[in-house]
Amino acid sequence: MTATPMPPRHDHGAPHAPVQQQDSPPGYFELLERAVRTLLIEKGLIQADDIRRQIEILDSRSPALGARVVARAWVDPAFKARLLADGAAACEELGVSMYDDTKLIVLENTPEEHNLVVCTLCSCYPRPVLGLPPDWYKSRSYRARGVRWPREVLAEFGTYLPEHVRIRVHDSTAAMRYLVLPMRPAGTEHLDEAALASLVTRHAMIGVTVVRGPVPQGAPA
Amino acid sequence: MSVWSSPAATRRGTCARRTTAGGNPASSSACFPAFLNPEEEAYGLYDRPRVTLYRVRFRQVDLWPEYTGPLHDTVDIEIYEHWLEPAAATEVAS
Repeated sequence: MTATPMPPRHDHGAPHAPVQQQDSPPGYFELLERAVRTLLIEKGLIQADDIRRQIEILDSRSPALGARVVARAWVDPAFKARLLADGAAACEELGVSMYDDTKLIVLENTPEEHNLVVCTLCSCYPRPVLGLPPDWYKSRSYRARGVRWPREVLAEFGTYLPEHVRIRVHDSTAAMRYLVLPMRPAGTEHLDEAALASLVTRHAMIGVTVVRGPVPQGAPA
Repeated sequence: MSVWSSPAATRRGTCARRTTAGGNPASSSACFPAFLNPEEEAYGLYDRPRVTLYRVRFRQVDLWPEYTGPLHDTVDIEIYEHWLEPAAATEVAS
């Protein structure tokens, strides 16, 4: 690369943050990761291509996959039964593979029961169906309080459940992963599967909220 | 305390029994297909026998004295079989 005394002209009228000219020095864990990765490759245990491919798998996963699974369960009772019996097998029917050798347990919310998932140890999360966990899921605050003060934590997400609803907290710390199957909201009878899937949020599939019906046209979002 | 099992566990042939953990009151659990023992997996021993993992359910009020929610709120935790002690020999439910 040629050293340029002046940055190239860059006039498109849209102001933005200055382009970073230099990477910041690597932190401790970045150096550790580089060292381990380099050693593994040098010893011939894995190849750089394996790492790239795994990153591609991770990047291909997002809450949209989980939303598809939920919407299918809402419209297809037989699929829902299979999903509750064996989450991984049912997801694979929809082309969502469990790449990490975990078991997927699907927890059905009902008018009497609401499920909430937390990993008190670290960040166990159903990545094959939801992608990477959000930062708050990994926070000490959520991990410590979700398991102990679930109703208060739910309220912080704007979710208020009456006392007659049982709250089932699931601490995900071993080789099992949990996906909440939210209740289908009222007023969605006319919606097709794709429209239903668009209502299903990551928050709802972790259990910190419920799925709301479509916002009527003209109403504030 | 009722014996609890999940649909997934039932499908695979549930064994459920009452347990205690950490001296807390009995709850119930379901067993699952076995996984690597994390104490061995951590040392790269991948060919050791698999161990059974249970989901053990507690009432929140039994775990946290200051819990203010209703009695029927629960928390399920995952415990490997060798970390459990039967509450009593007669309590193996089925």
